[in-house]
Order: sequence, then structure tokens, then C-alpha cells
Amino acid sequence: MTSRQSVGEADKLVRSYLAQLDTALQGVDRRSEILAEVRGHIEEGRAELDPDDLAGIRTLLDRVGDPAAIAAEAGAPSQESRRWDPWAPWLIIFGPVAGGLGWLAGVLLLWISPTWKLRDKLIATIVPPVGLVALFFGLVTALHAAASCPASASCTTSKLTLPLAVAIPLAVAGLAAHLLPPIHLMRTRARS
Amino acid sequence: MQYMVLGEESNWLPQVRRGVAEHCVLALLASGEKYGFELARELGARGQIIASEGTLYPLLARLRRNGLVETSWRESTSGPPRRYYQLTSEGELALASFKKQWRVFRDVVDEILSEGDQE
Repeated sequence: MTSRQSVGEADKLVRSYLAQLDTALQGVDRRSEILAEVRGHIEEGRAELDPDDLAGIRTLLDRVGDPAAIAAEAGAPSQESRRWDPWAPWLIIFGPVAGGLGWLAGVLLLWISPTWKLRDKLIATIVPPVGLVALFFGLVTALHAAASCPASASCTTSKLTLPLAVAIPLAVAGLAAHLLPPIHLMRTRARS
Repeated sequence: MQYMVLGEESNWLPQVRRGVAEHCVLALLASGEKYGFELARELGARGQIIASEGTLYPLLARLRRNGLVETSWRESTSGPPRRYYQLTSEGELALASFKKQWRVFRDVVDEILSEGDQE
């Protein structure tokens, strides 16, 4: 390995360590302060090493220690309190199909978990149901419009239906609004 | 990745550390302000007090939140500015009271342990 490759590799080790720490510190008071201080610590330690000293970087990170131990010292919520996290986004997506109880369970799991921020919880609670209603309404009116004017370019719409040009985008936007917040939940969780 | 643990681990040690480590940090700051890396190396080299160097930083954040230390930024000749930690007057009081109580506590534990040896 050339020394430039080693420097790149060393950067990668440090970045990956800091990313692990960042997610381990989720929900911790003074998270950014702790993270900045550990980053500074690693920079100070690297300044003492040759820039391509990979073994030195590994030892340095070993001495900084397991991100989970740092998070525990910072009072991070335990893994136990996150055990149901994987279910919440799926229940929010598919829960409404099962009579709404599944959705209710998903929202409950979402709110008791320390993993997500308040803003994400609010969005994932409110937006998907609105999206689902829009999707349903858009689909029904689109089908209605399509059925009432088969293969004809100039069809008039009744009071209850929307033109296809409105109904289809409405359904698509509804689908997006239903899916995107839970997908965002999955992504923020994957970073933890 | 394997992480090194400083000192020997036992079940009781993390619990005792919790209160003691904070006061050891206060004691290290009694001689003057220090920056994090300096403190971490000093404690890490001695072993026992902190589980790993990184665990110092949540501890410092806690001391700062509780008003026992305050921080100021200073330029460094070798890199980015450093955050220096310094005892507040509350921190000095906390340290003085800990010193007194710790000596009594330690003496009692030692006494009990040595009585156990004699039997």
C-alpha cells in the first residue's frame, strides 16, 4: 500500500469511527459537544503520528474506546429501549390495511422509542394518513373518470370526480406522502 | 474492531468510577486549566479511573453542565483551537468536600478489609 492509500484508509477509519459514535450518541444531552471533543481528541492524537501510520490510528481509536461505552457514559438510552424500532415504519405503512390497529401500534412504537426526533415523529404520525386519504381519493376518482369516458379524449367530469390530470398526480402525491415519512424513519434508524 | 479497556474490569468498578472519576478530573484541574486530550492521556496512562479515553468527554460535558468546570478556547500551535477546562469556584468546593469524605470513606473500607484479613 502506498503512503497516500494509507492516509486515505486512515481517514476512512476515523470517519467511520466518528459516524458510529454519532449514532451511538443519539438522544444524548450535549451530543454535538461530546462528538466535537472526541473528534478534536483524535486530531490531536493523529498529529503525533505519521500521517500514514495505520496501526497507530487503530491503537489511537482503541484507546478512545467503544462508541457504545462512551454513549453509556453519556447516559444514552439502552439498546433495550430500541428493540421494537424495526416494526414502527412497517406498521405505519401497512398497518392501515389491517383495520387501522396495526397503524395504531406502529405510531405507539414510534412515540415510545428514543431513536427518532420529535419532528420526525410528528411528521410520520400525521403525513402518512393524509397521504393515504389522498391516494385513495385520487385512485377512486381516476377510476371513475376512466370508467365514465372510455377511450374518449373529451369527457366531461361530474361534480364528484376530478379530471384524470388532477386525480393521477393526487394519487401519486398521496402515495409518496404515505411512504416517504416511514422510509425516512428506516433511514435514520439504519444510521444508528 | 477490538477496543482496549484501561485497567481491570470488575462488576463493582464501573459503579465506583461513576462518582469518583468526576472528582479525579476536578483534582487534575486544581493545578490549572487543561484541554481534553491532555486530561484523557493523563487519566488513561494511570488506568482505573476511566474505562477508555473517550469516556472522559461525556464526563467533562456533565461537569460543565453542572457548573463545576468552565471552558475557554485557546489557539494551539499544532492544530485547531483547543477547548480548555478550568475549575469554577463551585468545582473547587465540590473537590474540597470530596477530598474530605473520600479519605474517611477509604479509611473505613481499608479498616474493614484488614479486619477481614486477620480472621
